[in-house]
Amino acid sequence: MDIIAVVQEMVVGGFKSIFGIAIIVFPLMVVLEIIKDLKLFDKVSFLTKPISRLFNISDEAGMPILTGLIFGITYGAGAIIQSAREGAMNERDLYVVNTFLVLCHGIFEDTILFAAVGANIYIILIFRVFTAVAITFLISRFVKENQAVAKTTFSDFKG
Amino acid sequence: MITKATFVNGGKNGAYITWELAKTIVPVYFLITFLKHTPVIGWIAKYFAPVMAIFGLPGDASLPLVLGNVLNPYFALAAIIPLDLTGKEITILSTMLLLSHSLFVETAINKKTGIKVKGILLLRLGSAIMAGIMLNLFL
Repeated sequence: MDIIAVVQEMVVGGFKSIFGIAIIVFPLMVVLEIIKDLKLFDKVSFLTKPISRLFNISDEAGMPILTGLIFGITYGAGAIIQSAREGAMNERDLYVVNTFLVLCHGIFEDTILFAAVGANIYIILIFRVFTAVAITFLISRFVKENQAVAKTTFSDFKG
Repeated sequence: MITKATFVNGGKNGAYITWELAKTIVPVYFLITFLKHTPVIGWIAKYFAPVMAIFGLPGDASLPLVLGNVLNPYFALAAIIPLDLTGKEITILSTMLLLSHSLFVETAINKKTGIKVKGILLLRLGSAIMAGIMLNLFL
C-alpha cells in the first residue's frame, strides 16, 4: 500500500467532495430563505387542497405535507405538531401525513446531493415521489376502515 | 420581504450545513478511502454480496446503505464517493436511501407527532427494498 498516494487521495477527494456539496447547498439555502421571506407559503393553498383531497384528509393537514416536502421532516413534524395542537388534525390525518412525509421529505436538498455524487436526478426524484404518493394513497384508503373498526372495538370494550 | 437579511441568513444556513456536512463527510470519506486500500473492504464486499445482488449492487455498497439508515444520508454520501460504483448502481442506492434513512432520529420525530411508529418503520424499509428490486429490474 502506497501510503502517500492514499493520503493524497483522501485529502484531495475529501476537499473535492466538500466543495461539490458547498456549491449546491449555498444557493439552495438562499432560495429556501427567499421562499420563506416572500411568504410564498401562505399563498399556496391552491397547492395543498388537491393534496388534501387526494389523500382524503382535512384541509389543514395539507400544509404539514407541503412544509415537510420542501423543508424536511423536522419542519414537517413541527407543522404537524402545530396543526395537531390547534385541533385541526385527527388521528387518521396524523397517520396519513406521517406516512407521506417519512417517504418523501426535504426533496430539494436530498435529491440534489445524491445527484451530485452521480445518481440520475429524474429517476430518484420521480421514483421517490411516485412511491410516496402511491403508498400514502393506499394507506389513506386502508386507515379509514381500520380506524372505524378500532373505534367500534374500543367503544364496545368501554361499553 | 426580500432584504439583505434574506441573503445573509441563506448564506449563514449554507455555511452551517456545509460545515456540519464536512464534519461528517471528511472522516467517513477518509475511513472508506483507507479501507479501500486494505483487505477489509473485500471481506465486507464478499460477505454482503449475496444480499446486495438482489438490488443489483456490489457487496461494498452495503456500507453506504447501513451508514445512511443508522446515521444519516450524509454519511452515506461520504461512503458512496470513494467506492467505484456505476451510475445505475448509485441511482438504485440513492433511491433506496432516500426512502429509508436516519431511522433512529426520524422515527423519534415521527413519534413526537403522536403516532405509533412500528408500521411506519416497516413501511420505510419495505418500500426501500421493493424500490431496489424494481429499479434493478427496470434500469
